[in-house]
Amino acid sequence: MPSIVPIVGFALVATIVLALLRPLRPELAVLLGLVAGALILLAVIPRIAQIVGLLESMASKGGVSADYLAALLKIVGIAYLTEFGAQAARDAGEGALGSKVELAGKILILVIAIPLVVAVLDLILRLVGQGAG
Amino acid sequence: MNVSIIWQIAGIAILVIVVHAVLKSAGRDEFAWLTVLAGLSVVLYLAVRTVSDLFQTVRTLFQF
Repeated sequence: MPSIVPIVGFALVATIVLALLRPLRPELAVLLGLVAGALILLAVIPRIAQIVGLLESMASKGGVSADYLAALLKIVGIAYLTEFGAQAARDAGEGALGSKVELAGKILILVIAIPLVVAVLDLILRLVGQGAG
Repeated sequence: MNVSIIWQIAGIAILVIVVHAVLKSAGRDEFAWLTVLAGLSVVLYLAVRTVSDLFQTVRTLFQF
């Protein structure tokens, strides 16, 4: 049964070590923060793999075409990594860099989402067309 | 959740801090900075390995 206890415990240990390290060696503290964040995300990845498997089985059963789901997964992956990078930069005191990473992430997500929106609009227009025709 | 990598990095960091202080008090500032750079490069290697492992896992999981 997945439990939050090891993850929270790990985060607390990392926080304490970071508190010790930050005033003495800020650059090593930043690297340690990156490693701790990456390890926590790595610990959550198997749960996400289960969710992705569930989504894929539901999509194949529900007749949703695979490329919509692939686009959705890409968007979630980009958001996942963008959040990681932006917060890491912000932690190190580079707020501007973090917001630029977030901007790039939003643009990439938009690029992927546009075909989906167009497909939905086409569907709606076709339905309306049939109705009015 | 292997905490061992946190202890490795903390150990290297403390080692660098101590050696830096000792060398600085002995008046050899240039060697002090060399040890800081050495420690930084080792920790950077560990960090890059972990983060690239994360990126690879996410790429394969989300298929991009």
